[in-house]
Amino acid sequence: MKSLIKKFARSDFGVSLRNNFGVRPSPISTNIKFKFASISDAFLWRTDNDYKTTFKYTDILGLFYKIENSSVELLFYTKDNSFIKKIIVNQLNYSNELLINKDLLDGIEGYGTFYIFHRNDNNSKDDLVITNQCYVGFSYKGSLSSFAHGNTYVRFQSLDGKHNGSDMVKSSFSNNLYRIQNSFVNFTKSELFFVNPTSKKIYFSIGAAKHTLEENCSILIDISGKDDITIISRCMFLRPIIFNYKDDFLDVYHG
Amino acid sequence: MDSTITIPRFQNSGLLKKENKVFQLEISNQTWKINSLTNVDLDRDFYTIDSSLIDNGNIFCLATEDEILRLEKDNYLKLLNLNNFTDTSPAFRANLQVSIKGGGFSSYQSEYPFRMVTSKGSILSPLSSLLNKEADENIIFFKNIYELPIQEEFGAFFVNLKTKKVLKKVKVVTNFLNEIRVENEFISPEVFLFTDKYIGIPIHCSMKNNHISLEHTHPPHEYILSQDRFKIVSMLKKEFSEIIN
Repeated sequence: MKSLIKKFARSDFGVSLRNNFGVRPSPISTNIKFKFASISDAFLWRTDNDYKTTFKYTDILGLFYKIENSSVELLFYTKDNSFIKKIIVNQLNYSNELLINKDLLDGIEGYGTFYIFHRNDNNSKDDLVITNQCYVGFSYKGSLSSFAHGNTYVRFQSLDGKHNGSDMVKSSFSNNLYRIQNSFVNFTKSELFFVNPTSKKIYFSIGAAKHTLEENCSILIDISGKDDITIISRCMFLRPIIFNYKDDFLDVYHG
Repeated sequence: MDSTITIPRFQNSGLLKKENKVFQLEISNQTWKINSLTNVDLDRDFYTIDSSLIDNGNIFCLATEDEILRLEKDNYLKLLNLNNFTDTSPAFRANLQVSIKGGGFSSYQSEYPFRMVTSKGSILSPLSSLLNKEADENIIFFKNIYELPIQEEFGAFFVNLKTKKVLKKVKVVTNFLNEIRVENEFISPEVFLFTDKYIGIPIHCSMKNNHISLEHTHPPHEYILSQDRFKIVSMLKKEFSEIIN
């Protein structure tokens, strides 16, 4: 009986009930349809204002499962979720690095998101679900990159690339409050980067300012001058990447 | 360099606990000594602890006065899980900001989960994921907090997984923020940091031209969501264990 209740509580319907009635809410569900999957965050890239982005990722299949000849697929999108390009990397080391600049993105100066999915066609295991949380570094005006790690789960694909899905981050009927646990005093400028991790339009507010984001779209919001930030949204996991500046010095971290 | 720790007395859901205070703990005469930080700055629900109070051998905790007294029951011989205030999803953030005087600054999510305080084991962390060959200096700050008030030496190794060789061995200490300098020749995709007896959090630091970057690597089990994830990680750690032995 106990295991049946547990199974129900972890099902999509069970998670939805828990989230809407506030009973052991689960902002992120890892219930996915297939057993051989690669899950990705929506990582931020920036090429605006003299920014360069460095992406560092692990060959998870090679390191943990000793699977040779696997590959990764990187998918790049604009802030409006328009597809830019796909890059496939076949030769993987245990740790790998990609420089994302205007040249890589066909001259685009701006910001947006990208995803990483691992690829392997031959699976002999019963269950193989991996996620590359990775590290993204931001170099401003040629400075040393400031790194932040991945933040959440946004999209997933089967390892053979034939199936995909999203909406691991959940929403509730009522609003959720997220107060950033750091002060913004003493910076010359501060920006918050948000991505909509769901396939539905989301609404959120920061103080009196109201914002909307369509499916998987992203936005950079200047919050300079504000000391304390509270985000209100029905989306249950809307945690920004924070950029704090003191003149030309930069610090990036997840909020 | 300067360090500042910012500890909120609220959860990220907004729940505020005004009774929460910051205490400093350090080892003295083989017991945990508690210092009440009565003069620490409190500004808009944030406690700010500056460099004058931060030392490689001390730690800070957020608790009420009643909760901290629970350490007395064990004669201050063991750390206890005093409350679950910081067990939140998304994770609680106590921010450590390290600044170079007249230069850059970098933040790191510096709380140490209590479940790690009661555990022994080994950690595995890739060197090239966060360190930078182009930097002037690369350092791993390796923080261990263990429940008993002991400062015991154990080994930290740079291991090349492909050649199965130990490239460097350093001694590190429990209940301390250890500093491990990383030479450029070790920043390579197949080289990992591995410890042999205690766990901890490796904080990777790079500095160049007065700029600084500080970030921790993920524990390996966070890469895998399959049910056998701990078994898979354990097999990989066994491989490293065999190399260092």
